[in-house]
Amino acid sequence: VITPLRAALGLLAVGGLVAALGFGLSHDPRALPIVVINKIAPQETLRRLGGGRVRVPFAGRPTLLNVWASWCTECKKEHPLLVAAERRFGRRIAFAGLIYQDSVAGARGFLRARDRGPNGSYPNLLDPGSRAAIDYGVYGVPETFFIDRRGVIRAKVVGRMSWQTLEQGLAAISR
Amino acid sequence: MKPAAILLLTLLTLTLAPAAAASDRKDSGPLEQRVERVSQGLRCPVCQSLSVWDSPSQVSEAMRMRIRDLARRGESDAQIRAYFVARYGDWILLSPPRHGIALAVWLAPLLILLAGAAAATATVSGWRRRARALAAVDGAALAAGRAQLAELEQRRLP
Repeated sequence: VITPLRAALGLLAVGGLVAALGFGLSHDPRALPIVVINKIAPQETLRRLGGGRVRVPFAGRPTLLNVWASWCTECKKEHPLLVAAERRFGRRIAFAGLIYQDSVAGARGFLRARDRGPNGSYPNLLDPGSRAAIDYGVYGVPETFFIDRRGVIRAKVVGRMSWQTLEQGLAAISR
Repeated sequence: MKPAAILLLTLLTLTLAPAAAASDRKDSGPLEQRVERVSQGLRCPVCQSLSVWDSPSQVSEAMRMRIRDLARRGESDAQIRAYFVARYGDWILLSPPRHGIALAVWLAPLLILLAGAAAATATVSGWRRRARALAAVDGAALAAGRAQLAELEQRRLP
C-alpha cells in the first residue's frame, strides 16, 4: 500500500540520490582548491640565478611571483607575457620567478632562449628541495602568486595566464 | 628429526622472518616512522589517488622532506597535517576531516544503518500485529460457526 508517508520518504530518497549524483557529476574531482588567498605569504630568502640572495615577497612593494620550470611547456608559452608585463609594470610591481624542480643549466637555457640573457630580466630564484614551493602550496607549474605591499596573497593563478588574468591579478595588488 | 624439533624450527622461522625483512628496509627509526605515518595520510598533488608516501614523484619526495624537517623541529603529527591543510586545503587529506560538511561522509553510513533498522522493525511489527488480528478474527469466526452448527443439529433432531 502506498501511503502519503511512504511516497514522501521514497521521493526524498530518490531526490537525495539524484542531488548527490548531480553534485558529483558537475564538479571536477581533479579541480584543486585555492586556500592561500588573503593569507600572509611565506617569507623566503633564496639564491638567485646570477648570484646573490633575494627575499620574497619584496618588503613594501607589490610582488608577482611566478613559479616555473624549463621542462614545462605551458611556462614556455607564458614567459613572453611575463617579460612584456615586467617591462610595462616593473616600476610599480616587483617581479620574481621561482624555479621549480629544475637544474641551474636547464633554467639558464630556458631564459637565454626567451628572456634578456641567461639570468632573466627580473630575479629568478633557486629552490633546492622545493621547500619554498611547498611553503606556498604549489601543485605544479606554472603558478602565479599576486602579493600586495603588506605581504598578503591577493590572487593566485594555476596554469598559463592570459594578458587579461595577469592584469586582473596586478589590479588586485596595486591598490 | 623429531616432530617437536620440526615444529619448533617452523615456529622460529615464522616469527623471525618478518623481523628480518623489516630490518632490510632503509632507515626505520622513529623519525622515518613518523614521516611514513603522516605522509600516508596526505594526497600526492600530481598523482591519481596516491599518498605522498607511495608516490615516487618529485613533489612527494619534497613533501616527505618537509615533513621530516617539521618533525625534527618538534612539531606534532597534527601540526604537520595542519601545515599542509593551510597550504593545500582539506583536499590534501586522504580521509575527509571529521568536521564541517565532510562530517556527513562519516555519519551517513551510520544514519543509513539506523534508518534501515527502524524500517525493518516497523515492518516486522506491522506483520505481527496483522497476524494477531487475523488470529483473533479466525477464533471468533470459528466459535460462531461451531455455535451455528450446534444450533442446526439441535433443530434437526426431533
